[in-house]
Amino acid sequence: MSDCSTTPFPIHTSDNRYLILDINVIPILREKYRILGHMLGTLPQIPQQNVFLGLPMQLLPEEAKLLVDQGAAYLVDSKEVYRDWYKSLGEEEKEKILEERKHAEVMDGERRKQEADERKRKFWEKKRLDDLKKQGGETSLEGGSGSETPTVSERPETPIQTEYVVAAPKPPSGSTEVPNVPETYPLFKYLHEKEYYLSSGLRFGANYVAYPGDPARFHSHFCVNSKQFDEEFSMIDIVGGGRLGGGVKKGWLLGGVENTDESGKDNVRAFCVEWGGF
Amino acid sequence: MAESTAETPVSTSPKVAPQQPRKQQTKKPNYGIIHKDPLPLTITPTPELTLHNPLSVAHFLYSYFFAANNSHPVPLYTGTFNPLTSSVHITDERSVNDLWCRGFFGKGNLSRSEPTWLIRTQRRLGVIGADENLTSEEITERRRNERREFKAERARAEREKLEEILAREGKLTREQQMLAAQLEEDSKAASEDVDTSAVPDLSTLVAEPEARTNIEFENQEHLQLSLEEAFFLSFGLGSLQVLDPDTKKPLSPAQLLPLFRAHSYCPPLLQGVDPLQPDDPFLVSYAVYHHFRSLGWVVKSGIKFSVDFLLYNRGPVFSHAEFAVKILPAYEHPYYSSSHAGVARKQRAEKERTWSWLHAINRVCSQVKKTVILVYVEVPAPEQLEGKTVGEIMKLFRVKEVSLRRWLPTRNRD
Repeated sequence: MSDCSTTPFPIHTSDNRYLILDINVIPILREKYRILGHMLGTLPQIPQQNVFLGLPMQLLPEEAKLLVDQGAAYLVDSKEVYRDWYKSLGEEEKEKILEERKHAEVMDGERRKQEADERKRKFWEKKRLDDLKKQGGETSLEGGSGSETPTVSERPETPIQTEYVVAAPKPPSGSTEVPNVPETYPLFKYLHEKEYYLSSGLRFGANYVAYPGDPARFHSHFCVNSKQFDEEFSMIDIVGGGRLGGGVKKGWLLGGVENTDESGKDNVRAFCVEWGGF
Repeated sequence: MAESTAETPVSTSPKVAPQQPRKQQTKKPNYGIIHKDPLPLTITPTPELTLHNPLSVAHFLYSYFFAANNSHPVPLYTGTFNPLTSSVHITDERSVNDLWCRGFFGKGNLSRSEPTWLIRTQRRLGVIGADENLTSEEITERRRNERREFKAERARAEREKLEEILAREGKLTREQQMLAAQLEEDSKAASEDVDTSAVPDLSTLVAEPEARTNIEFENQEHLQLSLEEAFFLSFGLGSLQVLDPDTKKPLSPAQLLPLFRAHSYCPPLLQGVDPLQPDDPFLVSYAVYHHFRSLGWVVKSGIKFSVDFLLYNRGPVFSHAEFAVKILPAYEHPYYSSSHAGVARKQRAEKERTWSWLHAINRVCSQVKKTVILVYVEVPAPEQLEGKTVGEIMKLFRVKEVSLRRWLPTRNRD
């Protein structure tokens, strides 16, 4: 995609996940739309690490809705896109792809076998040398050095991975699908309009965490909790919230939709609880 | 948190005033003797029995059948139920003292935990010396003051060091020097202000030990028992008599149960209007309270950490609480999956438990180094309660504990 800042970009949906697959979109989301998302992709060799994460980026449903409502993005059903692309292929192309895949598998198998053989050979070689050393220390080196043994055979070339780029579908004209969002959306939108960066607050036992600027530069200010305006909740939750915020130097923010005016706009009010520590 | 005050070492600056020699630690009272009874009951062990010694057999039989003293306190401790605070108030000195010393029941209404208002007031009025019978509130306050002074001193030393360097490098203009001097004076004045306002200087207030004043005043404090504590003492142990606030007549456990369960709701239910429910907050939490008390734990309210109970190994004076208990009613009985009303009740209760709530209490409790225990209480069906006595009702509850710990893949790799 050449210029994503002007054109709406696709959000791929699958199983109620909202994914961004284009890396060029991410900085724009962050700078222009104050949308953080979070990275899902990890390193194939060390799948359990979570220090280096990459594409795809997952958006919260709230974030996706905000983008769609602003006309910055549109939803795309990943499954359908893939199906359409596959249908569009001719028989020959399909054959070709299958052939390539098979070839890659074979190559991979051969490479593994060779590596295993190599390891085995090295082991026996080392064992032979050790035995020789034990038998007569002074004569050990004559037949042993690596020069005589055949050098490691060249690694077979790794098969070339062919990338099949599924072209991003064109934005649908007319009405677009809108993500389903939880009840906490109005508060999310309210704080987002107040130029806060919001991310999921599960770590802090809240709905969201609000940052006054880019999280790379600022600590968060609030643990955001959304409630119905007349919802009853236990007083003990305020104690917990106050302590929770105090412990990590945040305010514990509580908010909800007070009323909805004629034009359908939600009037949100928010309150902040801080641990007094008298 | 206040509970972990590992003081960081003073910076190496020579300007820091040498640390005053630490005041002699006031001797702690011997808590082992004061709190030797785990519960307000007296246990008289029977003498050792030697079968071939007729004297021993006679002694044994005598003490077995004619026990010298009652295991219950005589007369029973008395408290009055207070509907406004939904608690039981204990005002007579013997009951207050014994209930705190033997099992750590209740809380002083003017104190953090142990009723210490009298001691603190006596000290303020000069009836007792500055370091006599220090209460836990005073110890905490002193520690915080020390810490505050230490921090102010450290900040001052660091600033002086910085100014010294600047002066040596000639970067401090005359104006700045003036400003710095001014600032210093201000801060000195401010810190003196803080010291005198926040911390009444005890040495000036308290007269010398010889010149003690003798002011007579009444103890304004009473002990508050939570509903669970009062019910345990009255129904579980039989050591406490709870009086009706109006008639001043003692209430039996069968009368207390409907009263207490009505007051476990906010606002309290009208008595006699709604029938007893199997998942009444009081019934469920009393089942848990009784469970842990019978296992020997000292159970105190956990409201300050947003949980239901805190479990102390021997008592709050001996160690910090190890566990934080959160009660979750579990609707396992077939009634809650088959009948319409049962399913609705189950869903209503489970709606309140969200993941973020669990994360929140776990975070709050791990900040203060407590392990969260989720206690599932299996709730019986409503029809099981009909026509049962208090003891039979309590037998219907089953308690299961699940310990919870925050697990981080990066920190727990061992």
